[in-house]
Amino acid sequence: MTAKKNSDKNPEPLLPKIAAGDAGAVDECLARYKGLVWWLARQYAPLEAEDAVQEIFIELWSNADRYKPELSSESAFISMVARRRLIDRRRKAGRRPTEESLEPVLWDESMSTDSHTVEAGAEVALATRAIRQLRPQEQKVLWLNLHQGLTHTEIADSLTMPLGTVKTYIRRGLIQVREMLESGKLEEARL
Amino acid sequence: MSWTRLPHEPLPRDMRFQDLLVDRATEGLSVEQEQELCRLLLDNPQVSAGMLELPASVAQLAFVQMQEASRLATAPDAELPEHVDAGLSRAAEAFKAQMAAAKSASSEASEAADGDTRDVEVAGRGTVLPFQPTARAGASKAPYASSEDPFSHGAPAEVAVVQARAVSWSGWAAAAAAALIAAVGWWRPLPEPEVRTVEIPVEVPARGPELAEVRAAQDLIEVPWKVLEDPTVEETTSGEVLWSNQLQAGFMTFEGLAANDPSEFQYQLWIFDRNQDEAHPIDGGVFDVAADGTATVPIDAKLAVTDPTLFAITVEKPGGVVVSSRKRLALVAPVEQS
Repeated sequence: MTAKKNSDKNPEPLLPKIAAGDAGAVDECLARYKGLVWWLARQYAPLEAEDAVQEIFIELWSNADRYKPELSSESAFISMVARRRLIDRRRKAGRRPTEESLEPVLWDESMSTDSHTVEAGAEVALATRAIRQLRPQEQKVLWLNLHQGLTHTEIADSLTMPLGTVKTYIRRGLIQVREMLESGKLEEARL
Repeated sequence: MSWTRLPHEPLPRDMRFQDLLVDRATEGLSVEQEQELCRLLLDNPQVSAGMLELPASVAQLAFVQMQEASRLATAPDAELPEHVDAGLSRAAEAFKAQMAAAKSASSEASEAADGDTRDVEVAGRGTVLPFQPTARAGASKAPYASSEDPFSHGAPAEVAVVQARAVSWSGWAAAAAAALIAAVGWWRPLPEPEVRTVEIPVEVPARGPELAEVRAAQDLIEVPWKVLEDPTVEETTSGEVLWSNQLQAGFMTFEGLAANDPSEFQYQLWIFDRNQDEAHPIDGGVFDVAADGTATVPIDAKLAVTDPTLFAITVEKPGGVVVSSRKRLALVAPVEQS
């Protein structure tokens, strides 16, 4: 991912500007988020990543008015739109065409939480807290799914774990993140 | 306004329901799963189809942030290749050209208006956006675009069956099922939108093709209505939608639809189009039904309809709305994909 060091953790959203017709914001949007979208595309559609990133950005710009700052950070919205599009692509393709290493990089407390990529918004801090409250195996399953882009079945195979357990762990993780986002208790979530 | 917290939304207790929401957020749904979720959403309008999508995306960002430093050290090729970067720049330039063209067209239309205006209620938006590329940007294939329409649905075109209420919904195309999920998700009741008054030019409607002309169209789309839960419909309520993309015209017929007092409520048509943002279906106009419960109504689409996937009828306040309150959905007509 493009290492865009961003000292401003809450940069001004760009999609509302694009929706208002600010052409300059299109370039800014591309510069700010292309690393994130490219990374996502490589995770979910490595053989079609080039087409996918263009497709995603065109969709984002064309629907810029759909972004609601009160509901999420811009990076979360962009990630959500990109994921939706990439998941569609993966389903169309039938399967992920190449396998990344199934060896997970385990959650490491010492890992930097300083943002090198996108703004470390309040919601990301909350999600981090929620994830850390999960059991290690649950964290690993969620990580394999969300970060490595593995399907539920692939996770079950790689960890020799029942598919139902994988689904349960993912469900538990997402629900915990959602509940944390609903609580909005940012101060407690600060790392 | 900046983000503070996610609005509370009750999680369904049904574990199967939860599983489908998780699957939708993390790896997509099969045609059958989409239809199953569709039925559950229809029975639970307080739940949105995408309630776990944002948590999944934010959790993903959390993982990315935590591991970025170590990953950058081991995966230098994660940087965008030069040709990808160049392709994105070309896409941005092309999009900006579209923005400029849209602005220019909007400006010309504004100048052409004769100043005859009236007050109308615009719910939710508050103001008319100076630029709304949504309707067209995805409709035509730009030279830089990939081989697929960026607004296409992901589900394959297979025929499937959906049942809602006591009605058997046979012959659905998968894309229509996906569109219905979008509609149901879109339909989840929202907080009352802010209502403001703005002035918009009054347009003199042009006379469209007659019913016979639409029926004779080579690309005629003919879809029967499916009945949903609303006091205005019975299981015997019937009728169809007739639409021609070439003519950009169509009609709706109804039998057994409750007559309405236009001072109390009116019916409104919404058109979901494959080339249109599914969250903002095209307004197809408001209409009334006579005492005998029958009506033949010309479709008054406010934007070009190029590839409709679903027609839906809501019950709205007199005059209709720009953004539906999403409380009453009476009829739908999913278009089977060829």
